[in-house]
Amino acid sequence: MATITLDKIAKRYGDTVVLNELSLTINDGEFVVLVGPSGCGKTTLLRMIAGLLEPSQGSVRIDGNDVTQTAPGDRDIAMVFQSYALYPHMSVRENIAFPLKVRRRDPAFIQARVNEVAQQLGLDPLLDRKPAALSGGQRQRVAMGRAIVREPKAFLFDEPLSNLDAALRGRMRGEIAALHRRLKATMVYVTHDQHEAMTLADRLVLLNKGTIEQMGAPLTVYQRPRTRFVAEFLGSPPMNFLAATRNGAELFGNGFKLTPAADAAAQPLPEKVWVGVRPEALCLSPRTHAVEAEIDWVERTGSDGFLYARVGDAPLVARLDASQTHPLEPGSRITLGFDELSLFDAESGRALGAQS
Amino acid sequence: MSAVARGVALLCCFAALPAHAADSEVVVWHSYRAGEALALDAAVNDFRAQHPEIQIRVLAVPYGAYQQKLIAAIPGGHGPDLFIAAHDQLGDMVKRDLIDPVPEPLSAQQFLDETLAPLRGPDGKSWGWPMAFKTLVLFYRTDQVPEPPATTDALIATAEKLTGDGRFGLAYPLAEFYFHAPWFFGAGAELLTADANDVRFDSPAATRSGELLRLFAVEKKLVPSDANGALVTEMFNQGKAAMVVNGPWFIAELRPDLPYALTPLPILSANGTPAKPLSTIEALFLAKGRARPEVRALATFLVSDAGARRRAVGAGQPVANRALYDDPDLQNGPLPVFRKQLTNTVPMPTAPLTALVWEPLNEALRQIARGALSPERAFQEAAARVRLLNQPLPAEANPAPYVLVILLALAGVLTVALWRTPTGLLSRLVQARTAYAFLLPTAIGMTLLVGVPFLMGLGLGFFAFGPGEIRFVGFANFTSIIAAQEYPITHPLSFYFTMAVTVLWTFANVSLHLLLGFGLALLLTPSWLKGRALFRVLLILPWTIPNYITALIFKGLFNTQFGAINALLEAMGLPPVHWFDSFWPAFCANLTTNVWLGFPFMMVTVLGALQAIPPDLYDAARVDGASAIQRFFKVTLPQVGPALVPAVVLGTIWTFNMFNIVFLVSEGQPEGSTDILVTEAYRWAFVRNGRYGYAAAYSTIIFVILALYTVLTRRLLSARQGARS
Ligand SMILES: Nc1ncnc2c1ncn2[C@@H]1O[C@H](COP(=O)(O)OP(=O)(O)OP(=O)(O)O)[C@@H](O)[C@H]1O
Ligand SMILES: [Mg+2]
Repeated sequence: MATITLDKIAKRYGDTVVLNELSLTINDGEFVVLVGPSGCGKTTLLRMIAGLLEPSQGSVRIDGNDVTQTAPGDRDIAMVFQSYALYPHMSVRENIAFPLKVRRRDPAFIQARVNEVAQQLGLDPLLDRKPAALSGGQRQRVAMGRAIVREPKAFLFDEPLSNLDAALRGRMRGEIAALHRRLKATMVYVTHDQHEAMTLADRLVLLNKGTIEQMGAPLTVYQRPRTRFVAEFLGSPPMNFLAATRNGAELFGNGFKLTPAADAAAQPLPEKVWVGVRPEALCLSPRTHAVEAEIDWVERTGSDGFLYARVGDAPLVARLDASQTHPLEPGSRITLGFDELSLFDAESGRALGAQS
Repeated sequence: MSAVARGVALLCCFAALPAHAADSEVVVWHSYRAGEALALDAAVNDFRAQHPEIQIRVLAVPYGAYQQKLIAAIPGGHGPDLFIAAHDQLGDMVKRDLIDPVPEPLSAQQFLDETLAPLRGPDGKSWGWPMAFKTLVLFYRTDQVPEPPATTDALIATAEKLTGDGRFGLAYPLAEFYFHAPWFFGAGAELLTADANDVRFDSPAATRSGELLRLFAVEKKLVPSDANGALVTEMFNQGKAAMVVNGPWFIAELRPDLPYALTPLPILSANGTPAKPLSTIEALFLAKGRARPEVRALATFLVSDAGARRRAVGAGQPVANRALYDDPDLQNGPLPVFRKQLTNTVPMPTAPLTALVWEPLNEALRQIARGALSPERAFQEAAARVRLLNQPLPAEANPAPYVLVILLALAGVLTVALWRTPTGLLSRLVQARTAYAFLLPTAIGMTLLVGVPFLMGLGLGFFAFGPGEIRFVGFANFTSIIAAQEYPITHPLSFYFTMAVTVLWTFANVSLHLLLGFGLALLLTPSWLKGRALFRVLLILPWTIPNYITALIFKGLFNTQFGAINALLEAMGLPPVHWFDSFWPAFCANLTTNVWLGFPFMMVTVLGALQAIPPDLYDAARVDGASAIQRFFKVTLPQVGPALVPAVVLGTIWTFNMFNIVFLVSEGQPEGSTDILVTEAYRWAFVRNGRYGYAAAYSTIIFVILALYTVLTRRLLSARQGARS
């Protein structure tokens, strides 16, 4: 229902640059997930969209209208805070009704709307309680209820699930996805959780030091990281990196030798590169490429087995089927094979075309 | 000597110190300060030089507690052998059996008759050695007054010429009877009847003295209307007051190079008799049973001409010895003027009833000085007031029923306690004995410091205190207060009027404290405000200054002639306000002072409560569309409110009992109308002849009101909270 456009917005505190001339368009009905390391400016960005922070420069537009100077309440945007920010002195009913009440809507309408929302979120039995008498998950739902009750053009979520335990988080994730499907509203969602990022996002925006490092469909970003930073940030455990030196068409590293596929030669490789291999790309039988590794230790988590090893001095993680890891003992040497790899310029960190 | 033995010896020394030491030592008490104390020491040293074998200890006891200490120490044997006191305490001391008469007859050749007479008992015996006297004379600036006035007409004429432009011809504390006494007695008025059982100042003579005061203060405005002692000194030193009525102590307060002189007070032109101030004779008294030869020797020496010379020369004391007034060294000093004045004085009266007359008389003078009442009416009302205060004590009540009720109540409480206590209490007490042992010191401390005084105060309300008499009167004090039959309800001295003022006072203060505290706290909250921390500290400052100091400062600010506030009004072209002449200005002066003192407490409380509100809530409210006003009323206020309740309850109790401000700023003026219940209770105990029982009953009533208020607020609040959750 709303297109949000950020046009070269920046935020500075004195000499500290938090966001640096960032431009981003969030399409109507799109679910955009913002990820990035702590302190990279995600919350700052969100608060500028909400109008809680004034950008040092640049403008925010909603459906083409410049709202940079518009008060938060007049932007028709709802926000769900990490702390939920429920009004402790109000009952659940009053909390949900608050945005409508301050807008002086008709009491009968308010009541109907609150009941409807409460029903959607399963809050009916809790309507007369104070927030202090609710569980974390219930509070989260009230915060959602307060956001959806006035049917805003867009929703902003700042790590809304981070205070919940894993199981509840999974469920709420599902509910938010369902909410998005039902309301078809524009949503901007900040999270630290890879699962949330990958499963919820129509589009993933990865921020680093106040600029957009990469954005796109989650799978694309995962599979084709444009920089070593992106590759390292997404995926758990993260991608392995091995330092290598080019010699003709071959790459030599500490304890391995690789020959990248020929189509890479379209673009001359630099002298020094990083070879990136996803942990799940590794297997115990030789494939297109192979490296020799010494096993440090093995972790088994039911279905998966994680193999922590070293290639020369470089650490390496491999994600295997748990059953495959049984014969492996720390200290023994093995050969790990893989087909897919990514190459990054050792100096700039940029990806060097897709490799296989 | 072991450490322990040394310690014990040291302890014994300390224990012996306050007690009356070995009989060879002579102990002298006095309450002199500065010059007079030094002069006395010098005289004692002269005696020591002549009698090295006699040990003498001179102790300066603060004036405030002097009499109480004498009363407590002498019968217990810890007191002095000789002490210096004023003659008006003589009657009381004789009644309490504190002193012995002077062993040998005193020579009328040595001492002035006026100093001997007040010390003489009915049997002609002298009850003390006269040392000095204090009375009032006229001080004048020789640079402004060429010829000292001999009559009141001349005084007025001289003063008129010197009045104007913030300067006054004459200055003295108008509303203090001690300073009005010269005109009062000069006009032929008397305080008490011959049998000292009734007052006599509702007389034409008293009215005449009041007319003179009216002339000074209202008609000619020659005297500043609210000058206290300190202000008079300052005015005289600065040349803003040309003539001052004052006593010998005044000399020490004057600038050394000041051009001034003294003269006896003028003759009242109306009846041709001289003004007659009160005189106080300072005498050396012999404590009961201490007439040892060395004590008598010291006393004789101290009042001898040689001893007196030390005091007269050293401290300018108007001494009692005739010889000193022929002394060429003192001829040109101020002392002959005091001696001349002494022949026209009235000795300070000593009858018990006099203790009751000062407050009503001062009030009458205040009324006359501001033209509120005619002198005749003012003195009549004062007399009526004294008669009211002097009513006989309530009839003695039979304590038996009261004791019975208390015993029954105690028994009832005990049975209920025992009946409701779970079994095995004793064994649990024994189990937890370590815990109780730790609690014990606090429990004992609380019992002694809070419990016992509280119960004593409660009990005191059932007794009546007369001169030298304590009587159990049951509920008589309480019924008398609550019935309040002496005055109509609208009269400022009525209990219900005072009560209404107290409630108004409390309500106005707490509301303003809250409003101001809340406003300032909100102003000091935004993070963009530079120097926030500094402002916070500055605004908390009024709270950190002892409140009586603030009260005295504000008292000065509100002074009619010299206060900064009236100066400001005048600078803005507004007429000056007589702050303490009518109820509302006086009330507002008190209110301003206490608001100044009280808002920081609320501000700090609100600041704390504001800081406890998570900033997310404001962000959420902004996104939800709440305006600044809505955010204040829907987010800030409901969150701060609960934290304010205890502060408001506490503030109410403090303000209800805010003694210092009312007592020091308005002093209850006018006519006691700005008095609140505590200041009234204080007056009953300490101004009106020690009616401690009545005062205690007042305190109990105050306690009951505040207890009811606290319980009621808690009920209301818990009911409201119950309805909410
Ligand atoms: N008032 C301020 N003054 C100076 N720097 C600030 C201020 N507010 C935030 N910052 C800085 O801005 C940067 C971005 O903060 P922001 O809260 O947007 O990070 P974030 O990406 O949300 O981090 P997280 O994942 O930990 O929530 C941080 O480095 C922070 O230190
Ligand atoms: Mg954040």
